[in-house]
Amino acid sequence: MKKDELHIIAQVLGGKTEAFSYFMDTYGQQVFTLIVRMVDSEEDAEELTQDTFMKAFSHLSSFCGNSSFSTWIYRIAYNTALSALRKRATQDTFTCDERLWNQLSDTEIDESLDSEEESRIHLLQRAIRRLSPEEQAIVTLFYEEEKSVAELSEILKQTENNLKVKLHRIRKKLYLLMKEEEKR
Amino acid sequence: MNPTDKGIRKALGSSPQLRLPSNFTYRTLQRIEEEQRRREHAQEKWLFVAMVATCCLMVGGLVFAGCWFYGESLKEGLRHTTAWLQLLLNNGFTLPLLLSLPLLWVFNQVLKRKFEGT
Repeated sequence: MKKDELHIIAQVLGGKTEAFSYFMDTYGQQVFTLIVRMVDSEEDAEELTQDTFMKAFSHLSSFCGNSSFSTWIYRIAYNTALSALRKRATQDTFTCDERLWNQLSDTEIDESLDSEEESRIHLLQRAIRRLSPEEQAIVTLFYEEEKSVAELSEILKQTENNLKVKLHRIRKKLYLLMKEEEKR
Repeated sequence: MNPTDKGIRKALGSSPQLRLPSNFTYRTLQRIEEEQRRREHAQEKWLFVAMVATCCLMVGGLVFAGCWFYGESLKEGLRHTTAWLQLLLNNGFTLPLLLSLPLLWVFNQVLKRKFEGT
C-alpha cells in the first residue's frame, strides 16, 4: 500500500471528493480490462467499471489498508462483474471426456502454450475468449496483470491451492480449446 | 503450472485493447457527487422526520404527564378561567375595551400628524 494513497484516502474521507479521481485515473483502465474480459461487452463493462468505483467510494471508510488498493478494487470489480453475469442467461459450457482429460501430456501443453508462433497465438486468443468469466479473470490477473497466486487468492477469496489447481486446469482447457479451434 | 507460458502472455498482450473513454473519471465523479447529494438530502429528510416525531412524542408525553399528575388541578384552573371570562363578558368589560382600541389608534395618528414637523 503506497503511503500517498493512504493520504489520498484520508483526504477523500475528509470530504475532498475530487481527490478520488486519482484512483480512477490510476486503476480505471486495469479494472475495465478485467471486467470487459469477464462480461465480453464494452458497454456493460464501462457501466460496471463505474459501478465498481461507486462501490469503492461508498465503502472507502471500510478499507483498512491491510492489502493494496489495487487488490481491493480488483475484488470489488470481480464481484460486481460476477453479480452482473448471474443476471444474464447461462453461457455455453465446455465439456470434455474425462479419459482424454487425464491422458493429456504436460509437456505437450507446455510446448503449446509457450509457443510464440503467430498462428498459435491466434488460436490461443480464440481459445481464451471461450473461457468462463471466472477463468478469464484468473488468466487476466495472473498473466496480464502479473498478480501472484497470493494476491489472486485475496482478490478472488479462494485458497492458494485451489487457485493453483484452477490455473492447471485452465492451461489444460486452453490446450483442448486450441485443438478444437484448429479443427474449425 | 508453467511460470513462463509466453504464448498466453503474448496472446493477451496482442489482443485488441479496449480503452475507457477519456471523460470516464469526470462522469464517474459527477455520478458520485450526485449520489452524495441524494444521500445527504435523504438524511436531512429523515432527520426532520425524526425531529418532528421526537417533538410530538415529547409534547404528548408532557400532556400525558400533566394530566396524570395535575389533572384535577388543571380541570379546576380551567373552570376558574372560563368562569372569569364569563364574568368579564357579563360585566360589559370587553366591549368598551374593543371600542377604545380604534379610538386610541385614531388619536395616535392625529397626534403623529400634528407633531411630525417638530
